[in-house]
Amino acid sequence: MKRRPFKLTTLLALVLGLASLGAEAQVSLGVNRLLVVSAAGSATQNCTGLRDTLAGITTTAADNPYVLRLEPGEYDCGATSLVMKSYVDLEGSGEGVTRVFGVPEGDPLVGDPEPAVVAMADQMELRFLTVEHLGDEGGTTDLCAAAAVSAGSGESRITHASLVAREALCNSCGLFTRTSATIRVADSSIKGDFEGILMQDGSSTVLVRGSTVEGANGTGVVFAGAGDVVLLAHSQLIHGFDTTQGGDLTCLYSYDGNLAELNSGCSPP
Amino acid sequence: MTRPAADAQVSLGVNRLLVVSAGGTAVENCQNLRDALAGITGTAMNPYVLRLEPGEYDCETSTVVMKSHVDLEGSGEGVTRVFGNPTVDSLGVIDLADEMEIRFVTVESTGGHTAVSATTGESRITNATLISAGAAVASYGLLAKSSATVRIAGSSIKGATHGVSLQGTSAATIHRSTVEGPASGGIVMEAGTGAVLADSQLINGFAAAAGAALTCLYSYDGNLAELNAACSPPPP
Repeated sequence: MKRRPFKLTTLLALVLGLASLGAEAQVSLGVNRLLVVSAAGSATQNCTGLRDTLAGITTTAADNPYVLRLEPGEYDCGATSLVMKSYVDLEGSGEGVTRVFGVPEGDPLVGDPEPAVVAMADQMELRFLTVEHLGDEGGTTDLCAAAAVSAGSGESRITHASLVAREALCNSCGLFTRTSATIRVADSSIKGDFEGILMQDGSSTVLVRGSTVEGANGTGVVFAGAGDVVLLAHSQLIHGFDTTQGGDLTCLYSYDGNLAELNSGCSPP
Repeated sequence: MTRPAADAQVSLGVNRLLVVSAGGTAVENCQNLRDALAGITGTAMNPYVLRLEPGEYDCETSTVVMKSHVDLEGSGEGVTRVFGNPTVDSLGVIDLADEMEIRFVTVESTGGHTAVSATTGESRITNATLISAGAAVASYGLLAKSSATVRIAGSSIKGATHGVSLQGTSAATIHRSTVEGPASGGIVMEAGTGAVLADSQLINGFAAAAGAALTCLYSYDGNLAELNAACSPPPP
């Protein structure tokens, strides 16, 4: 293997540039398209830094995309969803070292506001991080409808991520879709206390590859109405599915929590 | 302008993401890695990532013992190589810790013995290449022992005597990966250990003691023949 030369000028510029940054600082690498969000403050401050960084990105497009790189650490986003923007990827520093969490409440099934810790946008990706809804463990009792991540429209991706939703009074899901979202999930873990994936009545599609979907004390995949589609390939579905309200679920080369192979209808033999 | 010290490391942001330089010799580069690791203590609330620059890191005969809540991230399996020549098979070039991950890196034991070892806790190996080459009584790509649990995804693991060795009550889940050893040496398992291979390739089979639990799902062998749940190919 050949060793690349050490880029001294880049290194020194970086070090000098970082020297005066405060705890809430963000670092711009390159030409301000790769923004590193600090985890130097409290978990709440860290999420504020993330929100501020996202708010500072005012114009995005296919030819003007951004990546927000989160440092290792914790980001407490409280009761307000982090609403992403198109063409802005959210990249952690690893599923085990970057955790974004919160307790937003609301049940879109009955018209309430966004319940997810992170709300996806069109043409963006979540990767290399854990997103967790604390549910009732966040201090609010009888919390109804908790989701780690939601998507309402457009096309988005979730790669090498862990989505977790802890116990809540009503729905508690790792991934929640509504309206017309298309989401590609790969190499990830999606776990909700009640539902792994909850598909609201709409026309959304979720394509899951190489991942685990689990409803810890409920059901793996739940369709709340007709029109939605879920495909699991090379994945594990724990605690089955519920299509009594409609929906289209297909499994390919997938298996259940007991490592029993699932047929194309996602049922064990 | 002077050349940076060989042990240079760069802190991005506020020191949670440390970039380890590959600007020196391969031996100096591994020393940079050791120094960076020695200077930090990770916790769940205060985790770290050590990002290795593209280059070679020669750790010689001394194991790099990782710490909990500190991920080791290369710059790609093809451009970041950590290697060494451990003198025993019980500790690898890198020894994993609880709650940490190695990714995007090649780890190689050049004189046999073990590339990566894990003794306790839960750790992950993602998009990595583990190789143990050369003559040795025991030469493992991955050795998990005691109560270690290792989750492997998107990786390649190859050993001169066994790809993966599971000892004690250790367990491994292997997804979308290739595990290779010589005859009956893809995986060797002691009683009380467990492994699941899903969507993976197991080359040259396994040797599992009574009381070991090995399951294959949608996996195949070196001839691309599908393996049954017990990880055996169909009869000819």
